[in-house]
Amino acid sequence: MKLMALLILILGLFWANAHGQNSATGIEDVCKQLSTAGRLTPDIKVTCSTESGANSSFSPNGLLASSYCNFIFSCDYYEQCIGKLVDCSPPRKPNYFKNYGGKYCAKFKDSHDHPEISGYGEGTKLWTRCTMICLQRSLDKEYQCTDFIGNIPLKESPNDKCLRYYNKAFDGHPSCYTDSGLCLLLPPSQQVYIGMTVDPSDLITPESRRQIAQATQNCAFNYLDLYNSSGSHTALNSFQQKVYDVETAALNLEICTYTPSRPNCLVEEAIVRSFDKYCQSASRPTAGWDCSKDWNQGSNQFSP
Amino acid sequence: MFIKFLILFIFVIGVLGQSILFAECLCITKAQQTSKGQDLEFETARCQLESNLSECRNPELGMKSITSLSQSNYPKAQYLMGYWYMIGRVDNKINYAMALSLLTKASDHNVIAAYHDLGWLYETGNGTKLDLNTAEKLYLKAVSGGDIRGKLGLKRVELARLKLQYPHATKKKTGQL
Repeated sequence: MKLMALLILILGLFWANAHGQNSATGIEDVCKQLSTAGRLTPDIKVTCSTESGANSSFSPNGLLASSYCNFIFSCDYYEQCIGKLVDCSPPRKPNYFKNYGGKYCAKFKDSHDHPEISGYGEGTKLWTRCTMICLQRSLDKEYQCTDFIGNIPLKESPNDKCLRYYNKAFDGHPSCYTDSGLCLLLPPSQQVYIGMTVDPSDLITPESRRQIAQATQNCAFNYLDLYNSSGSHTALNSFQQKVYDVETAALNLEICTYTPSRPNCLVEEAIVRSFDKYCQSASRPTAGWDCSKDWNQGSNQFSP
Repeated sequence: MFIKFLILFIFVIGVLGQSILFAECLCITKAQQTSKGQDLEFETARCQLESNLSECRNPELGMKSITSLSQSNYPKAQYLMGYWYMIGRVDNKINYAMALSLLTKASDHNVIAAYHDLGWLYETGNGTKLDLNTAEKLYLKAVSGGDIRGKLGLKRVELARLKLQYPHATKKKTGQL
């Protein structure tokens, strides 16, 4: 009987210990519960600041208001914004933000900024910027809609939380690539250049390489759908039309360099330059986040 | 009582296991309802290559089917293989000669998408002799089939001709036009 009681006690202790590790720590829990929408009057702002890792003076509100989280055309977001909001630094793992997102972002930005080396055309540069914003937004939405103040904390270990962000990020890659007009990047060599940006000898992650390869591979199915021999073809969406327009204007502009007397050369140049600003930034939603909506490249915001 | 519970437990595990192990791929089921023969084989392979759902995804088998269909002169599969050879998605190597051969076969069967990609091979001289006239004809066919990529192809041909006409022309910097 005594042995049985002891066994129950030990099991109880194990359970309590495991439970304690799998949930948010006590004070953070209380804080997050208090900050749940409707618990306090709207004029009281609560900041729960224990999820900080090395940074003890961390404030999610303050960080989210900073330029690091502001979606300018930059890769700082991964380590300086989401990487601080969600601590996946060692011993926690996997660290998508540092080991994958930030590194890939830097490679693509480098190719974007040096088209004379990468061979990127105007359409591919637009694709790079819009894909970067889309990828960052998918992580931001996960944080805003699952982990930000007011959400009920999930019962998960820190590593499970890091894995959730890792999976969320990878799941978002293919749609961000194709929604940003990957299949309309022309001539076909542009898709080869994108593949080359992710150098096979640079084994950051085979999964990312596979996803880009798969996305370009699937473009062939897309072409079969768009242009079938029955005569019907699917219309381009508003964002695909933008990619097509910038490629047309860029070609016209290049033709102008050989025939300056050609009419509308200044207009073509203005069109190409007007696209330089597109997807350079995306302002944060000020009227709250609608977590039921997906990122829309055409409107550069979350909308149907 | 214990025996009854054990039987129920085994039954539940069996049902759950079956649904996990033999989950139905809706994409393939739909293909089975709408197509047959080589069309069905093609659509099944497409599901295996395109889908990210574990019950559907099987890229190795999908690729094998597309390769086999291509060898059996199935035009859409010939287009896919041709395009993949062109952008280096078969064994991670670009093979313009294979791309040219397969895209030519696909275009002979009026696969609209093949015209643009074949035109690009002639425009650039990849896998064949550079031939802007043939490229132009193919791009026009693409445009008439509704492939807007053909319009950009026509502009590239115009540009390529200008480059041949003015080989020493220097490219002006932005804002100097």
